[in-house]
Amino acid sequence: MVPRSCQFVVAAAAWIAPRAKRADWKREWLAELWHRAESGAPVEDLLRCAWGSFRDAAWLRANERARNLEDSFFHKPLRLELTLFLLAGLFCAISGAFNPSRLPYPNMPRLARFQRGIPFLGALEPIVDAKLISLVKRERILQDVATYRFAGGVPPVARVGWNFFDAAGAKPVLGRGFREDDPEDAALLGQAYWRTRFHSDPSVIGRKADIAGRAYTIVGVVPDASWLSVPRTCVFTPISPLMKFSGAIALLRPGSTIASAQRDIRRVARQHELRWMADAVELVPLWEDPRKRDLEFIFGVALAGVVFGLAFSLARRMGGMLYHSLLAARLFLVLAALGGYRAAVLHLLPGIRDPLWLFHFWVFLLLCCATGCLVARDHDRRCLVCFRRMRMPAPIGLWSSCIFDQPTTEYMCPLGHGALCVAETENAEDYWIDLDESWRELFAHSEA
Amino acid sequence: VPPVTSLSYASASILLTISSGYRYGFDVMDITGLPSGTVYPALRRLEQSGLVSSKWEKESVALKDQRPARKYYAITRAGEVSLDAAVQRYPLLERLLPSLPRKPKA
Repeated sequence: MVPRSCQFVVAAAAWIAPRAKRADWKREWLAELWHRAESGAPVEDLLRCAWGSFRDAAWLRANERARNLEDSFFHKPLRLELTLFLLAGLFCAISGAFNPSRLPYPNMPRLARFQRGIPFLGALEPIVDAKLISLVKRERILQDVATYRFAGGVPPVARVGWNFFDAAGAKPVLGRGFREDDPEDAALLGQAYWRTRFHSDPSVIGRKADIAGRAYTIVGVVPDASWLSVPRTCVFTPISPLMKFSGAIALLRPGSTIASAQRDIRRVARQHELRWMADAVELVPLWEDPRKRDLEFIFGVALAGVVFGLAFSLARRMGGMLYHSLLAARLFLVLAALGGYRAAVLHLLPGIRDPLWLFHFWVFLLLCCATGCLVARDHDRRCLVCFRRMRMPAPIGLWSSCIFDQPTTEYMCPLGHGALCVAETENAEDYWIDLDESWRELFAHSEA
Repeated sequence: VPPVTSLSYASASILLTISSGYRYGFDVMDITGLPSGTVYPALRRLEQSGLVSSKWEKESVALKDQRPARKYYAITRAGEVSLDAAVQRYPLLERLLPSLPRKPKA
């Protein structure tokens, strides 16, 4: 007779074993323990052997799931999503390699850019209020403030304040920088553009050249400054004081820190009734790679999608831990891949971050929602064991008897792991029926 | 000729024990000295790879002897081929082989 303690251990381990194999598995273990007990083995020895049943059951469970997944699920949607995710990573890495963070400004430790934080998943918007900038200039909180906006075009043109390169501390490699009285058609060329378009010809200074469909007078060549050239800006022209700008960089006073300057800006904004801006304005060090924020944003969106998808799936009370974990993984992969593409595109395309930034932001969020819904829908009505799509819908129940024989649609797993009954009425819930080994014969042809 | 499956030392020793006529999991444990948590998963893996086959004892036989039916494991042709390869790979198994007492068939 098998001691009760051993029976209890095997019974507990049986919960881990796959349901379809549980009875057979338990029978084998109890038979083995019985024979061992009959041969006069002490209880301690039997108990030690019985503990091994946990490992056996766990192996069975893991192996069955792994085999099923390998057979079906990974070959279809998840593999596609994984590929998409890896391609997105590759794309981001390549775009990052072509766009390395090079910031040659001498004043770099004291340079910051204005950002307006959006209280949603940590997103940052580079657009700042003109009133705030004029206020900061007037109060002399910062040593210098220079505005900019991207004008787009091919090659990409940016309009910058006349003091932009002075604030950054960047000296022109040829010619001169901007002056306050420079006309709007004055232009500073990026060094790389000067090299490729004008073959490093020093005589371009003072000449007129047709750039992006407009005639500009070239006044100098500036070193490639990567933060602004994240969208690969090639030409800089002066921004007029009346022109709307989209962002600003700040040069901190010597001895001042970013935190203290930000505190002062917020204090002054509050004093001048710019409360909404006072709560949102942020100074971000210019040396901080903007892609870091993008990554945080991508992970925020992906995690939010996962939480939402899981909550939705759990609320429907369908499937086990693995089922939900896979849904979470699929959502994360797809949303992170989308975010990765967005970040890479933002950094590759000139000017896109500027006037259309908010538009792209919302389009991206809508795209995320739509894709998340598609993934969740795809994950729905799959077998809880092998994740194959359920087939053979059959209406069961009676519409004339919505209480005692509720109308449902029954879907079968093609390998016969179980049946999913999807309720057709509001007062009923979906439920899953496990089919044991005895049903497998019926489905043998599907497996072959 | 069935393909040769590479075996770990533990799997090879279990396969060797089964080929010597020890056909129950606990017998294999006694001979190899491996714990039950190692022997049973290894047996399942060997069965999955087609190196051993399992068969339940007839209920009538077990009932006649008033004991629960046991599951018998037997080495297959593919298992024998893999075992031959494993014996060459692990010289210690070769030394163990002659010392293993042959068990009469149940």
